[in-house]
Amino acid sequence: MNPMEFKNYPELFEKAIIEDSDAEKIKRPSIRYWPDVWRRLKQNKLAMTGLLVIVIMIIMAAIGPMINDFSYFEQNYNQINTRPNGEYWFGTDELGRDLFTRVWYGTRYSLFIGILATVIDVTNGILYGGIAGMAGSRIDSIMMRIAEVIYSLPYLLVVILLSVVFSTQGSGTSMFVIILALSLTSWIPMSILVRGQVLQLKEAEYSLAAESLGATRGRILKKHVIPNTLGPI
Amino acid sequence: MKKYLLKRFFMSIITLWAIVTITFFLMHSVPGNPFAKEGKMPPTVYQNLQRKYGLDKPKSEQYVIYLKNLLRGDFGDSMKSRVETVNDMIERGFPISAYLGVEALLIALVFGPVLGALAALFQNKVPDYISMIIAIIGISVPSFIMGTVFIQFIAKNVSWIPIGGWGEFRHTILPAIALSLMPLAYIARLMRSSMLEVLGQDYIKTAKSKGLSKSTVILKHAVRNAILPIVSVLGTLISNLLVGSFVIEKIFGIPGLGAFFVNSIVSRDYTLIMGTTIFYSIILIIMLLLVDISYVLIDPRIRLTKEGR
Repeated sequence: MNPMEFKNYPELFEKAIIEDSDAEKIKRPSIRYWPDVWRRLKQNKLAMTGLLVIVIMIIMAAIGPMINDFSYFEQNYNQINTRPNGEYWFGTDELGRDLFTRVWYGTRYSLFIGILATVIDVTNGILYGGIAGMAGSRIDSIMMRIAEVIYSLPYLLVVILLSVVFSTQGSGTSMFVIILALSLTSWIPMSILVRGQVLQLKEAEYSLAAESLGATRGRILKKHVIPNTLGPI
Repeated sequence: MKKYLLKRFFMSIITLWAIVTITFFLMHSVPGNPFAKEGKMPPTVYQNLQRKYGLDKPKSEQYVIYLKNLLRGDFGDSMKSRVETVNDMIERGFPISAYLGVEALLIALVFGPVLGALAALFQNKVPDYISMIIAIIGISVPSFIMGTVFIQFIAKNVSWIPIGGWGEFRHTILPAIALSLMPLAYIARLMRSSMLEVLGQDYIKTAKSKGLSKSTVILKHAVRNAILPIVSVLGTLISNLLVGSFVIEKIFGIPGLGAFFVNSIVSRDYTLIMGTTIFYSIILIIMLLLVDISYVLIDPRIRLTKEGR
């Protein structure tokens, strides 16, 4: 179009109507926290592979022992220590028991203990480390010294004592004792890690901002500091 | 700072005393005794043995005697070894375990942060995948499997790398690598997540827009802020590495300290249990103090005392 012809189209030069309020309008649907997490997780191939493996393990732990005809205690003395074959998919152990069933049966307990012990670990670590770091100076000092004491105690000795104390009522070591023994000292490195992060983050600008807005220290810890420590955890 | 260190020193003594006391009474409340494994013995022999090691006295008296000896730096005689005192055993085993531990620590400290930082800088790209696969292997493959795999595939084929034993530098190569894999993987993962967190911060953007070179931004701004979680875990990590690993030392036939921690408890060697526990806790206390001090050096905003508030 020749530039001179523009004057024939005055409507092209009309002022556009832009409401101020339009600029503030949210046009796209806002993505909430968890859908966003899921969206980003799907892009990470490594994480998705891991998730897939865990899901398969959970499913197999649930149905695995029922897939073939053997129970986890059934013994066949003609088939001891066999290699994996058509009948025994994972082979048999030294007592002629089917390893396929036994592996998945054991997975149930391993998964349960593993997940629960980790949850106890992380909650304990965050709570203890968070409180110690936030309180600072004297309380921090005392709490960390207590952690040192617990972490220094000979682990094996404590576990033996635990299994002795708790086995009087039942027979052998129960799952409760195993979980207790696993999470007895392992939360301490976690709490040291959290405390270090809290010590750093409570001096960050946003903590100062929250404090000057009148937030209590507990609230700053819960709402501002802990969420920012989750990465390393 | 001086006042703080002095305070920490006194606190450490109280901590040590608490550890000694709890371990002492914990140890004596576990069933079994040091001589159970010797088989049946005439009651008079048993009583003589008890008397020799002072086990016939009441627990509280034994405790006081032990504390007195401890103040002189004497851990007592081992109840299992006829020739060595507990001090001798620690003096013999610790340099070996510490040598191996320092070597493993150096490997972990050089490769761990580098792998983690690379993974974060190239998130969801090939370097990220490679280092995270290494990290997953390091965390999930137990050290006893790693150790035996190394022996099978490396020591058997490479003539100058021995299968086990102790003496020269070449003896330490495989065990140090096997020992370092777990901490290496742990540090790499920690570094990656911490680095990702830091790289999204505003001050990185500021540093970039100031026109600083990429390496300056990464080394001076990103790494320095991301390294703190690693320093946190180093306290327990270093102390565990220094006192040796039961599994690795067993596989490679290394006469280190690691075995004492397990064997002393299994055989209820009371003096050795106390000795190893106290020794370990001294190292742990020192390491955690160093961690606290390095917090302040790395991030001057961190305050350990109320001063300046």
